[in-house]
Amino acid sequence: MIKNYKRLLGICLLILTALSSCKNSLELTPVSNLSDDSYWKTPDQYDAFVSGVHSRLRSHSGNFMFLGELRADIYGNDPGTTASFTGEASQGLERMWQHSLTLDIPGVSNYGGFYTNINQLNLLIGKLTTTDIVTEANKKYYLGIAYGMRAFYYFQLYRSWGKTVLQTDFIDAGNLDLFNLAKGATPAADVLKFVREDVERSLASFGTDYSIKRNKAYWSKAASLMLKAEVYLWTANRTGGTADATVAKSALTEIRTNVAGLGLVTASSNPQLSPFADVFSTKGNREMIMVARNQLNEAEMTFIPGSFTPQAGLIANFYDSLANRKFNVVSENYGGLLRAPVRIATYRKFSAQDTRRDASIQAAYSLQGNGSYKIEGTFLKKYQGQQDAGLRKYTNDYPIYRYADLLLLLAEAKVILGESPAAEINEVRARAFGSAYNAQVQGFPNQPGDSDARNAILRERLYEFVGEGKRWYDLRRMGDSFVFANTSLPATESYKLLWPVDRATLTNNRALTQTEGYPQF
Amino acid sequence: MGYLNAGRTLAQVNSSRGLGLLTGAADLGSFDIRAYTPGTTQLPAGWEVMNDPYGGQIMFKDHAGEIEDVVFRNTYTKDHYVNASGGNEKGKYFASFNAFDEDGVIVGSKYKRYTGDINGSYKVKPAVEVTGGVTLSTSSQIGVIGSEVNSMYRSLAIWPTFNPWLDEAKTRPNPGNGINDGNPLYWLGRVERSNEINKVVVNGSVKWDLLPGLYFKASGNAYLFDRLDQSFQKSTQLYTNIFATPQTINSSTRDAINTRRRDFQTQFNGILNYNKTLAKHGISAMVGAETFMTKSLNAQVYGQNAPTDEIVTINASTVFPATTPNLNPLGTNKANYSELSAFRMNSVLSRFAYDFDQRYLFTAVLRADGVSSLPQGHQWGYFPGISAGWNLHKEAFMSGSVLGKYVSTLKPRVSYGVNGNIAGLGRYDVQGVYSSPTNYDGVGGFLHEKLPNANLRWEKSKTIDLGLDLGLFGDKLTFLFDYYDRRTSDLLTDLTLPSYIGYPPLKTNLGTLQNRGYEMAVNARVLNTKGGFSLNLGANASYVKNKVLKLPFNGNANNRQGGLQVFDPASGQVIWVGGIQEGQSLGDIYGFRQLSIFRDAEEIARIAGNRTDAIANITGPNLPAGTGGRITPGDVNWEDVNGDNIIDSRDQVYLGSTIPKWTGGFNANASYKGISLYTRFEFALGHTIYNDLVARTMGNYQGTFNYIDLMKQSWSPENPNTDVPKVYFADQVLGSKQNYTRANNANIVLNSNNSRFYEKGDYLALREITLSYTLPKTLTSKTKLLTNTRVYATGSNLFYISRFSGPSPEAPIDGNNNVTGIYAGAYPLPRTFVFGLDVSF
Repeated sequence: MIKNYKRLLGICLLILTALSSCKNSLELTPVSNLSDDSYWKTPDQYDAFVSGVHSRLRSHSGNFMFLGELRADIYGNDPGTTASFTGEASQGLERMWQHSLTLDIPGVSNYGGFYTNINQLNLLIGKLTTTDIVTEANKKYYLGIAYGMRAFYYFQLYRSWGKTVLQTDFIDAGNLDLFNLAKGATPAADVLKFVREDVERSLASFGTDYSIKRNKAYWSKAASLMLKAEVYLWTANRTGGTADATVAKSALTEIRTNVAGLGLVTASSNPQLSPFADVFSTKGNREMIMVARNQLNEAEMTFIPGSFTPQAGLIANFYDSLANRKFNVVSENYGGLLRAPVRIATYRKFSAQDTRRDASIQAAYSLQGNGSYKIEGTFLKKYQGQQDAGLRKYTNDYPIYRYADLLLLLAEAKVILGESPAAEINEVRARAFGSAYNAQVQGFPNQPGDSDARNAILRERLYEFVGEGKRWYDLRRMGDSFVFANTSLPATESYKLLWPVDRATLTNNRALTQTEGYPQF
Repeated sequence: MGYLNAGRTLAQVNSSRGLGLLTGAADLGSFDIRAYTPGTTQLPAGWEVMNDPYGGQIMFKDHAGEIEDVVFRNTYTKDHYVNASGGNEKGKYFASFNAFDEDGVIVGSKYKRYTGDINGSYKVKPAVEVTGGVTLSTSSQIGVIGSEVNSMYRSLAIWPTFNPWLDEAKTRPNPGNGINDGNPLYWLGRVERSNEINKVVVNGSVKWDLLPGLYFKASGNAYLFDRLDQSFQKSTQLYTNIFATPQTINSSTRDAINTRRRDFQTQFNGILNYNKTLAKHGISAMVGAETFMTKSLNAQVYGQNAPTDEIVTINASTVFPATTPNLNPLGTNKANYSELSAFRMNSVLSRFAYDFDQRYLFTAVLRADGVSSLPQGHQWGYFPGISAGWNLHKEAFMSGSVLGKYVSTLKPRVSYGVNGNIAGLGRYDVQGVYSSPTNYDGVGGFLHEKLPNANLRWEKSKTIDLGLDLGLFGDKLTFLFDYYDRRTSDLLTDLTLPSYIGYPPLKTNLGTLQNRGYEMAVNARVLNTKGGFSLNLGANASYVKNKVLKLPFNGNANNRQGGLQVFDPASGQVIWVGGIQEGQSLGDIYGFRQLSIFRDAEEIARIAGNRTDAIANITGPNLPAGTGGRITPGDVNWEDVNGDNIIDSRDQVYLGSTIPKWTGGFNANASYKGISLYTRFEFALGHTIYNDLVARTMGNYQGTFNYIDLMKQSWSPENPNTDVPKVYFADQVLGSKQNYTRANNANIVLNSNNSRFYEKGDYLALREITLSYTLPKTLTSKTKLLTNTRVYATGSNLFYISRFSGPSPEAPIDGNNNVTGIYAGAYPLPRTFVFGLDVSF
C-alpha cells in the first residue's frame, strides 16, 4: 500500500513539474517575420522601411492616375457607342468621365488607400525623430523623403476630396481606443496649410542635399520642390496671385540651379523611338525627377492592362494605317482589357507632326472594301512595357515629376507674373516636333490659340502628359472655369469637382460626412 | 440581342468575338458563324440559318453544350478496404489497409488515397498496459484548372459558335481565348500537376493501475503532415496563335512551381482517473494535463522562362521571381520563400462526476487552456461546466405506477458550460507584423503590416441546455428534446478600421452573439418480427435563430457596423438594416423588389411617368432624359417603397435570410433476414440564395458570352408578359439599365440586386439509399474461410426536391464554412452510386 502512495506522489510531482515548465513555453516569437518588439533596432531596418514606403507609393500609381486624369476629357467611349471599339465593357469606369459617381460607385474608394502609406510615413517620422542609431545625414535625408511624400499624399487628398482626416501621428496600437475610432475631417483650408508646412519640413530636412537616389526612383529634394511649385500655383490661380506664383517660380528655379544633369531628352537612345517615346522606355533618364519604379520580376503597372490596353485577340481584328499592316497577336500582345479607350477626338487634337501623338496614343483602323482605312478607336500607348517569354510585361516607370513638367509649371508661373512663357513652352515644343519644328509655325505664340497663354499651356500639358495623371488636376489648378470649359462637367454641378466618399468609408467612420453637394449619407 | 437592345452598331457587333462576322483565319477556324445569302450560299451539313437581329440572315453551327459535355463527366470511384484484428487477454491488434480512387465530376479534378493502420496493446505487467499505433496515409488531390466559379460561368456560357475542336476527328482541342474561355482539354494537356499528401500518426500510451479504481494514463502522439505540390505550365497558344502563319506562341513563361508544407504536431498528456462506488454513491474523478505543439514549414520554389517544355521540374528555369501577381498559399505575393512558425497550447483538465443510485446524476468539469497566439496576460482561458440529470424512470414511484408500464426512460437534463475559441487567429498576429512588400528598385523593404492587439482574449461561449430523454414501450419509441441558448461573448472578429487608420482589419473581441434553438429527434423500432422482419424509423429536426446582443460602442444606432439604409414604411423613416446591429439577426438580405416588367410605353407612362431610377440614371417620359437614357419597355418596375418617384438605395426591401432556420432529416431502415434497405433524407428550410450565376449570365456582364435558355423568356416586343427583364449587352454599364446587377456594378455581392434572382433554398434531399444483402452465416461458415460476406449498392445525393433553379439548393458557403448566401457557381456535389462487397475472414 505504501508503495502505491509513493507511486502516486511521484506522479503528482511529475504533473506539477510539467505544469510549471509550461508557463514560459507559451512565449513564442515569430521566426520568419519581424514583430513590433524586434523592429527599429538597427540602421538597416530604417533603410528597408524607406524602401517599403516607396514600394507602397508605387502600388498607388493607378489611383494617382485615376484621380489625376480619368475625369478629364481624354478618355471615353466615342459618341453613339456604349463600349470600347474592341467590344470590352467599361465596367463602371465611364462614370468617371461622365461624372456620375455615387457613394456606391465612387470611382476611387477608401481615399485611394493613401492612408495605408500615410501612417507608415507617420511611423517612419515618429521613429526617425527619436532614434540615435541612424547617421545624421541619413536621418535628415529620410525625414526629407517622409515629410515630402506625406505632403504629396495629402495634396492628392486635398485636390480630390477637399476636407479629409488629418492623421499626423503614427497609430499607437497600445493606446488605440478601439471603440472610439471615429474622427472627423479637417477643413480643406487646414489640409492645404498642413501640406505647405510638410513641404517646408521636407525641404529643411533635406538641407543642401539635392541628390536624387536610386536612379530617380526615390523621393528627393527636387521632388519636394516640384510639389511646392504645384501647391503654390494652385493658390496663385485663386487668391494667392503673384506672391504665390513668385514662390512657385523660385522653387522651380532652385531645382534648375542645383540639380545637376536635368533636362529634356532630345536624342533617343533607341533608333526605333522618338526622343519623346524614349523618355518612358529608358529608366532614370535625364528628364525624370521622380518616378515610381517598376521592373521585370519586381513590379508592373498592372492598372494599364487592367483598363487601358486591349486584348490581343480583339485588337488583331484592326489595322495600323501608318504602318499599313494588320495588328497581330504577337506584336500587339497587350493582354489587357480596354475599358477606358482614348477618345478619337483626343487623338485628333494633336498635330500629325507632333511626335507625342503616336508615342502616347495608338489608333486602330478597319480596312474598308475600297482599300481605305477608317478609324475605329484609339487607346493609350505610352507604356509599352517589354517582351518577356512571349508576354508583354508593363515594366515602365510611372512618372511622377519630370523636367517637361517643371518647364510648363514655370511657364505657368511666368504667365501669372506677367512674364513671357515662350522660352519654356518652346523648349517643350521643339523636342516634340523634332526636325519638323519651325519656330515661326509651331513656336509660341505662333500656333493658333496661343494668344491665350493659359489655354496654350493647358493644351501643351495635355499633349505632353496623357497617361501621367495630370490633366484633371491641371484643369482644376487653373480654375474651375477651365474644368467646365474642357470636360463634360457643367458649372451647375460644380460640387462634382470633388469626389464622393464611398459608403464603406462613411460607415466605418461615423464622424465623416459626404462631400458637400452629393446626397448626404 | 443584348447588343441590339443596348444600341450597339452592326460594325461593333461584327467585330465581336464569337458572334460577329469576322474574317480572320483564326476566327473562321474557331467560330462557326458566317453571313448567309439565300439562294447563293451553300449550307454545310449540321449548320442552321437564322435571322440576324440586325437584318439579313446568318448561318451558324450550334456547338452549345459541347464544352459542357467536356467539362462535366460521369466518373468512377474505387474503394478497397482490408482489415485484420485479433488478440487474447494479454494483447490485441488491429491492422487495416484502404485504397480510394476517384475522378472528379469536373474534368481534371481527381482524388486518390491509400491508408494503412496498425494498432496494438499489450499488458506488460498485470497493472500496466502499453498501447501503440501507427497510421500512414498518402493521398493526392488535384483540383480543377482555373477557378471553380469560372469553370461554371465562363466554360458554360462560352460562345455557342465556338468549335472546341481544331479537326474533324476531335483529337486536337482548340485553346480558345484562355484557360476558361476554350476547350479545357487543351489546357489540361499543357499543364503537368502532381500533389502528394503524406500523413504519419504515431501514438503510444501507458496505463498504470495504481490502486483499485485509480489509474494513471500517460499518452503521447505525433502527427506529421507533409504536402508537396508540383506544377509545370508548358508554353501555351490561343486560337489566334494557332491560326497565325507561321504559328506563334502566346506565353512561354513556363511557370514551374514546387510548394511544400510540413506540419509536425506533438501532444503529450497525463491523466489520473479514479472510480469508486460506495453503496449507492458512485464517484468518478479525473485530473490531467496536456501540452500540444505544432511546428510548420512552408516553402516554395518558383521558376520561370525555361527554354523547353520537356523538363517539368524547376531545373530548366532561368528566372526566379521574388513576387508573382497571384497570391501564394500563405496569402502573400512572394514567389520563392521558406517560412517557419509554431504554436503551443497547454491545458489542465479535471472532471468530477457523482451519482446517487443511478438516479441523480451530477458532473462538473473544469479546464484551463493557455495558447501562445494570444498576448501575454490573456493567454489562459478557464472553462467550467456542470450538468445534472434525473433518471425519473428509476424512481420507485415511477416504476411502480401505471405510467411505468409504458414509460421506460424519462430523464430530464440540465447543463451549463463554457467553451473557448481562438479559430482564425494567426500565430503571431497579436505581436504586430512587419513584413516585406514587393522589392523596390531591386531592394527589399519592410512595412508595418499589422497592428498588434495586446488586449485580445479568448472568445467564450456559454451554453445552457435543457433536455429531456423519453422512452416508451421498452424504448421501442424514443424521443430526444433539447432547448439551448448559447451566448458567445468576446467574439473574435476582424474589425474594419476607419480609412484614416490605414491598417487592415484588426482582430478584436467584439460583442455578444446569441444562438437559440431546439433540437429534437424521434426513433422508433416499429417492427421486429420473429420471422426476421424489422423496420426502424427515425427523424430529427433542429431550429436555430441568431441575434446580436451586444456590440462595442461606436456611436451608431445599435452600435451598427456596416449595413445599409432603407425606408421603413411602418415608421415612415429611413432606418439602418443589414450589417451587424444589436437586436438584429445576421444574414438578412436586402435588395430591390421587381414588381413587374414594363410591358409597353403606355404602362410606363401610367406607372412611372415621373419616375427617376437613380441607380441606372434613367427617367420616365415626363422628365428630362437621364444620363443613362429613359425607362423603356422591358425594364423593371421597381418597388418605390417611399413613394417619392425616385428609385434609389433607400427603396430596398427585406428579401430573406441566408441562414436556414430548420434543418433535419429522417431515415428508415427495413430488413428481412439478410436483406436490408436503408434510406436517409435531409431537409433545410428558410434560407434564401442569390443566384448570381443566372443573373451574371442574363446580365451579360462579360459582354460577349452566351445566354441560357431563360433568355427566351426575357422581355421582347413579342413576349411582353414576363418576369425576366429585357437583356442588354453588359448590364452594368451606363445605358444598359442595371436590370440585373443594380448598384453592384457586376460584382458578386449579396445585397442590392434584383429580387427576381433571389430564390428560396428550401429543399428535401435523398442523401443515401442502400440496399444490402448479407450471406447467411450457415453458408459462409461452410467455406471455413469466410466469417462474413455482404454485398451492397448505395446511391448518394440522388435528388433534391427544391424550387431553386441551380444544381444545389444548399446554403452556399465560403472557404471558411461561413454562409455566403450567393450561388456563383461552385463544385457540384456529385451523385454517386457505389456497388460494394465486404468480405471478412
